[in-house]
Amino acid sequence: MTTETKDKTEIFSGKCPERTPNINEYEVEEEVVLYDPRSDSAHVLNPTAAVVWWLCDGDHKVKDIARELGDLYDKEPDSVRSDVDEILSGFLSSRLVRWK
Amino acid sequence: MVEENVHGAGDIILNAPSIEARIDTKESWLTNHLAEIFSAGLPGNGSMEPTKVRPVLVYTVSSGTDDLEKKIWQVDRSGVRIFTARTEHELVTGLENEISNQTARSLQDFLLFHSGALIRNGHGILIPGTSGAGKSTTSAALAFAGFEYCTDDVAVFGKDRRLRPFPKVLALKAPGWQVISKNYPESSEAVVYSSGRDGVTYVRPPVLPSAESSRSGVPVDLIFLPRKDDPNAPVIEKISKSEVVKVLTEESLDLQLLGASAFDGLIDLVRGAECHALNVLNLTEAVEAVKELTE
Repeated sequence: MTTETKDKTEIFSGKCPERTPNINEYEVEEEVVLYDPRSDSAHVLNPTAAVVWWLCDGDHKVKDIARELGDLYDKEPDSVRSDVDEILSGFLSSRLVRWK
Repeated sequence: MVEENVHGAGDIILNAPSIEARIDTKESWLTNHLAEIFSAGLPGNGSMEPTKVRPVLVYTVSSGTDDLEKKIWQVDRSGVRIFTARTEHELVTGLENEISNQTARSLQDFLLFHSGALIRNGHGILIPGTSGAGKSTTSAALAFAGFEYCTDDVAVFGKDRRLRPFPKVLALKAPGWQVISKNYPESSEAVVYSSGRDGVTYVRPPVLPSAESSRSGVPVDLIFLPRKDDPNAPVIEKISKSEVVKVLTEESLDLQLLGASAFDGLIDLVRGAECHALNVLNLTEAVEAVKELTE
């Protein structure tokens, strides 16, 4: 993860990410596909990214998402935090989520 | 999009359910070649229903001189200059591109992809990919192996998610034509027009879909992504459907115009199909593998 990405997510670590409206979501085999009609683009989420996506409900802060993910995979939140930051950074740069 | 209706002007080169194209020119060789290029998957009887809006395009082709050394052709559509060609090859390929694009645009309620598409034993097959991916060469190989040819470039799906033909013959760039003419020598007799050694060769496919298939469409149950990067890769290998979704999204021609419900159609299409990577470095083996899956 780049320094810029780390800085960006740390700045907003007290805020809650929420899914951008009008992104269509589909389950295809074991993956989640998001379609953004604004850019006519499809984004494929692996199972971990899909969990993060679903937790971007405007009520979970970044640290809450890391905790939930850690519980799911039986890991400490700190050990999954960098994954969460990376995934969120991707969502933010693709405008799939925004800060509430 | 509806052009001036000038029925009677020029010779018809394309008479499709969604569009009519005519050419007004003294160059009869041009009229004949274009009519043959757009002779695939055509109406006549049993085609799909005509669309509500059916433009009639009239192309006027003129040149300033009869001197072959100095000839330059001007091509107009409804009085508007659309391009100039300095050689016969430029003229043919330029008009083919123009008419193909207009035909695709006329299919307003249809979902379109850059893809080859063929049918065998009721199985619809899709071969999507960007330019150079191998879809035309692979489509040509399957066509000459007896598959019913729908397209090597624009796959057409109605709201019923069923595949229909696009009215243009095979168009192979030089490397693809080299492979096809070597592996399928009979293809040389099916050449409609060749725009030179390094240009495009238009080839009539041996088998077209039946009238019934053209009218009611065929469901697609196999999607192949051509691969040319690894000669040691298996001929056929299952791939994730989400990868195919990504490729089809990238290769769609009108998804954004049709709206989000069209993406529902794309997802349904992929969910209903088996998805494979097809190693096309050995085309003969690839064709045999596809044949086995379509018995």
